Amino acid sequence: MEESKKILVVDDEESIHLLYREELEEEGYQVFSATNGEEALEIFGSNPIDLVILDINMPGMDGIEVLRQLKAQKPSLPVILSTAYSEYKHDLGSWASDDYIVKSSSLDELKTSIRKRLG
Amino acid sequence: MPRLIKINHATVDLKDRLEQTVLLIVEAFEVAFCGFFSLQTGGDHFILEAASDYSHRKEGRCRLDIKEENLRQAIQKKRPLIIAEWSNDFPKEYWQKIAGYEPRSFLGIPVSDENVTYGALVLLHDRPRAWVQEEVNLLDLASQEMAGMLRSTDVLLPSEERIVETLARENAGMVRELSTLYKISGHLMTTVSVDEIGKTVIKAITGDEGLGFDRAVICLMDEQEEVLKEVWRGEKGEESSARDIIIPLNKDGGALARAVQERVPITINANSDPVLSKIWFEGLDCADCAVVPIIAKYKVMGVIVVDSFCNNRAITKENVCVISMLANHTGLALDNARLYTFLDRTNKELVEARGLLAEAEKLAAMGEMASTLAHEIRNPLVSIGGLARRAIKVVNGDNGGKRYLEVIVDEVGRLEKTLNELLDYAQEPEESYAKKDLNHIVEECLELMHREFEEASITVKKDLKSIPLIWCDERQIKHTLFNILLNARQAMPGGGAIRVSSSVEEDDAGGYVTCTIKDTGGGIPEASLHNIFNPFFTTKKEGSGLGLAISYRIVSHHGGKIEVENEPGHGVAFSVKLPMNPEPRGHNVYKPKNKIKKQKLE
Repeated sequence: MEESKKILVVDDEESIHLLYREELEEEGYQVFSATNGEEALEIFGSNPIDLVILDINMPGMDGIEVLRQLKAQKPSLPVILSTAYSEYKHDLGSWASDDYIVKSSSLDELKTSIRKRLG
Repeated sequence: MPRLIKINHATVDLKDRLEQTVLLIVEAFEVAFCGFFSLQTGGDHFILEAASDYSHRKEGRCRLDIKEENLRQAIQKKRPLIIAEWSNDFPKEYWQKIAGYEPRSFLGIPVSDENVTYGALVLLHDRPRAWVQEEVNLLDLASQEMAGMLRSTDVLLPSEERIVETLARENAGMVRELSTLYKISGHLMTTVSVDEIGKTVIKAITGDEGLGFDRAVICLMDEQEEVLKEVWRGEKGEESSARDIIIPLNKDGGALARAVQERVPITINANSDPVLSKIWFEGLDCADCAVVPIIAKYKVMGVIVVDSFCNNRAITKENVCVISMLANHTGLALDNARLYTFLDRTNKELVEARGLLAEAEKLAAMGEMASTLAHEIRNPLVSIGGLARRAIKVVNGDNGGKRYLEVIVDEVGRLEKTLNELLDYAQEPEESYAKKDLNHIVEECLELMHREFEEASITVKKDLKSIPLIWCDERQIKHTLFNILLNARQAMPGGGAIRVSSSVEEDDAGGYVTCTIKDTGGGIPEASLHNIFNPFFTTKKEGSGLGLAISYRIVSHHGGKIEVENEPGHGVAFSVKLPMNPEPRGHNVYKPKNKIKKQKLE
């Protein structure tokens, strides 16, 4: 059996991690969790991550900085911004990230986007 | 002499005083006749003003003109003319008529002071008489006293009837004019309507209750074009509509232009002024006109032209004086009205600007609050809703728990929708595109920032060229310029200069209008330059990093572009270029954000 794809979820909310982990594991992905930027870069450095779901507003290093560093290390890495802010979609949607999804209790949009990027 | 001095102070009537003096002299010197003869100004004859007796009047004559060359020469030289015994080379015809008998001796004493020769004191006697030096000296003293009387009264008029009549008339006229002026000035000072001021003045000059001229016209200065324009006109108290008359302020403007340039009233017969006769009277009979400048605070505001074309009355010095006084009042009133209008307009603009600012602040505060709330609420909502969805899948059987969870999922969905709508409202108000003047938008931004610049010791230089109107969303463009100006201010904490210019650039696609904002804030470090339009990029402690990103987005939606000219160490210039093409939105069709989101939610 093909090895499952590895997704890194970066978010400072524990409850989000619980939800994303269960939903994504159900889809057959292997899920890594990071609650801040530094941790995210550390996990990324030691695991062959296939896709990153990234929150923007986090204490310490913010999502934009994490995005910059991830893309600097691996420009082809798909990164989906998943945030509570809807108003920056126009500014960020077409910029460095691959997608920008406003957080919603329905994860359908997020799952569709992941499938599109991981095949 | 003491009696003489007493006379001088006893009565105010000059005629009385003169008569008492001559009577006193007749008594004291024991002569047959004494009289005071005034020398007519510019003339060569004398008129009898006061006499010890008026026997000549028995012949029905009340006025005598005496041409006596010897006496005239003597008093001009301020010397007495003494004839102890009459000889043939001195004509006695006049004196005989006055005295009523044949005089045998004559004494003429000049009545004069240093400046004015009033006339002569003449003594006649019916016998030869030696006029001793002592008598002459005494009479000289008396004549000086008389000169004093005349000087203090300063009127020397042909007859008492005329003095009284003229004085009364003049007084009545002055009282009427003064009371009119008083009324008008009272009225003028209580109004701030320019039109009412003009109409009041016209009425005051031409009305029966007013100064009584037949016609008046007021022209005001048009400072931009440097011409006078007729604004109000009226005849005999009736106001008529102003004609479309424009008078240049050069030699083609005639007396009107001259009154403005020289700042003096001019009295002129319209026949001798081509402008007045041709334009003013339109071929009617020309009359004397007074052209009086309206001056307020050293500035000529216009002219009042007055004439009496019906009765063809001449314009006197006094008339000009009264009109000048009225013109001064008019000037002050117009200046007041102008100041009031200016103040009123500025105040309205201020209130409006304050309203706009308050509105903008309110929106910004709301946006910020909504944004914070969204973040704070959305995360827990996602967990609640998302986990409830998961719970539905794992709940077994139909014990009611599944139904509760479905309600939770639905309600969370509703809350999320409300949240999105709230953000849409706060973040993206309706766009409204219209034809606008970019210069005007720039001016408004500068006006709003005025105080901030002043406080930060930043000077603003404007170089706004005339540019065509463009199709844009004024609010958004204002937001863009505001962002750039704000960055410029923040780049110059120790003061500096901002240069704002506008220009037009033609090209095949229709061209652009450009507004360039250049500061002296040291420019942008080369390393950061490529990031300045990226969202969340900021060099400021408290910046969101969205200012220029949003500006860039707005200008892009308008089909325009922002260009940056950076001079590290000196300053930076941002140029906002907006297309003159009537439908710039065609370049880049903008899909409002909320539509995307709604699709997403359904």
